[in-house]
Amino acid sequence: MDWQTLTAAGIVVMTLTIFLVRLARPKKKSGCGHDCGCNKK
Amino acid sequence: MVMSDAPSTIALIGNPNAGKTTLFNALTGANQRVGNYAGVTVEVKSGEAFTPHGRKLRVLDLPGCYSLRANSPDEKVALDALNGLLPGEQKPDLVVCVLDASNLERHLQLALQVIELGLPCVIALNMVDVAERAGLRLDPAKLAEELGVPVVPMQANAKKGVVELKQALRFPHPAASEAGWTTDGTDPESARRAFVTRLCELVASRPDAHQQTLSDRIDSVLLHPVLGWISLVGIFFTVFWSIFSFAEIPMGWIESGQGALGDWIKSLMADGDLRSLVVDGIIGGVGGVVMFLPQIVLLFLFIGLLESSGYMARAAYLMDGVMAKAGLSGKSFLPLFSSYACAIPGIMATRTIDSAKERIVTIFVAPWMSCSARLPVYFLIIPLLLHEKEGTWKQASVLFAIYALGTLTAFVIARLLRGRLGDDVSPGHFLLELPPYRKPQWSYIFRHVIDRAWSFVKKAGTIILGLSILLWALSTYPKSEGDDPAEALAHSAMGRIGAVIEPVVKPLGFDGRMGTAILTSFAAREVFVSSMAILYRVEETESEEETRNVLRDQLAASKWPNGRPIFTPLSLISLLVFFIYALQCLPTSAVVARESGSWKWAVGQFIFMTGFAYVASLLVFQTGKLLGF
Repeated sequence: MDWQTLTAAGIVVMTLTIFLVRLARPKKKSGCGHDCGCNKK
Repeated sequence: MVMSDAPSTIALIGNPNAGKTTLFNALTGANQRVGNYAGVTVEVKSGEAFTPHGRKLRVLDLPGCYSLRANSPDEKVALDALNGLLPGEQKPDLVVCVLDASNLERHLQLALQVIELGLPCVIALNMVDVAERAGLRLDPAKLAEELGVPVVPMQANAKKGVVELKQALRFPHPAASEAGWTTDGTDPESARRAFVTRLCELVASRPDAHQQTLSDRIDSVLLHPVLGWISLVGIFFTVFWSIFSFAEIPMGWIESGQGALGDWIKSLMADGDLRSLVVDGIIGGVGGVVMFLPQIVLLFLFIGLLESSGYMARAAYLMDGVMAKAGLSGKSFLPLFSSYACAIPGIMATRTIDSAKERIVTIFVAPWMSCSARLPVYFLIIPLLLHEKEGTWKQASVLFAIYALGTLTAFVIARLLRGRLGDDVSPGHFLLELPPYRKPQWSYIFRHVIDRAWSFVKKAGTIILGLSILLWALSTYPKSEGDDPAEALAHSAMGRIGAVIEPVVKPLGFDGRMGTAILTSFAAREVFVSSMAILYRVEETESEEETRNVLRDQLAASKWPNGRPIFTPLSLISLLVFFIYALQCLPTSAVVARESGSWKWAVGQFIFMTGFAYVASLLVFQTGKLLGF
């Protein structure tokens, strides 16, 4: 495995981990929680 | 007076469009959304302000209401806030009643009811500039004397009178000991009306009561039964045309910047997975979405202009008749119109509707108003559908037709659903504020536009970036032995998912990759564009010239295995129809469940809309095929 493959795989794993952590964390914000500005209304 | 006499909680109350939110922003330095039409605030917002001597105050911005009879959910919220019945809130120490000085006769009715509650009250006599321009001669001192509470004349949008109001907050007069107008034993409402009529003659005289204001003259055209409709269509068509025309240049800059960045990275890095991830996954995926930023900025700029100038209220007035045909009233206009930006605030704005049945119908159809998240998809597909040389007015017409189709279908379904739910026990009344036309408040418009643009960029830099990386991984791994890019994609996880989905989406005119892109767009609609950019990258390598082309050109060149183009006008229309109708927004479903008080409505809405989108798309494609397109 070359360094590009390893780094790319690392980035993918890190992204997946962030998504899973965010998904598991309870949401506190009103609105859609995606910062689309709708909760400012 | 000692500092401890200052109130700790102040509630701002007033009729819709009296300028409460503008005053709230002026007092607290917040950036809450304001508009020159009724119903912008539907829930209690709080902020902090300071007296001229530095004492901290808590300011509550209550939803606008015409009375304290609690006819609709937002009026009930306002009344509960005044009575200290809201969870976690105490009774306010002082109420600031915001009145539109140019419309005192109606706004005073609410002020009298607030004074009757016995709470300490200060009157913020807002928009004195508008009243003076309309020829009114105001006498705030006489008004204060008659009501027995302090009256502060002000112009909240220019921050005039804010300091004087803060001084009045530091030294609140005690509540009026008795409401003089209700002591003669007559019905309170009639007594209030009689008192207000007499009071207006005393404090807001008009030397020439029959003089037409500039707003009246403009309204004679914009509210005309025929000219009004022509103007409405003309204004909204111009907005769509401008979005396509003016955005072209900045979009070109973003596009070239994206290409140059990709080329630069390619020149720095050897061929490999990381380079592919950066160029095809990140730059292709995120750049494909960010490219539409100029069009989104322009749309919100125009919406801000229409709201701030006062035209939006006229549009609601014109639409009342159309709404009635759909079994709704003009009260549903604002929630439905807000849904063009995002269905979530639109659904929350249904709190101004007093009829529970009308409210649930409005909530049900609101996601069919094409929201801004759909725009990147439309902006990708429309130019594919029409040749570039055909001009921006044709593209604007298609976009206008998309909005019209979504809206029209929403009205038909609303009519059917309203019929099934039955009539209300007590009929409601639609009362609409027609504010005078005003110069747009540029500072608020720009802040709102920047807010929206930043939200869009932030979403592209977080969720869409993350999904682009994952989509790249799915379309890259597991790797095939050969070098053929088409074979590599077919071998990848995404290719396999596409193969499973293809039989389901093929009757709609879509291949497996489009089916996969649609599937990913259920996370967020804009992701469709990123997915397409990543999934169709195989065409990039076919020739040097094509690698420089944008995503649209790659899509236009895509073919079925038998050599037929995938993106025919018919399949593109079918795709547009699917995106007009499908409910691909989980946060919207969560808000529907909260506002309707039941997950049944949210789940039912999701199944109905997605099913409707599939069937409509199927009908379009299959009928078109039968007709030989």
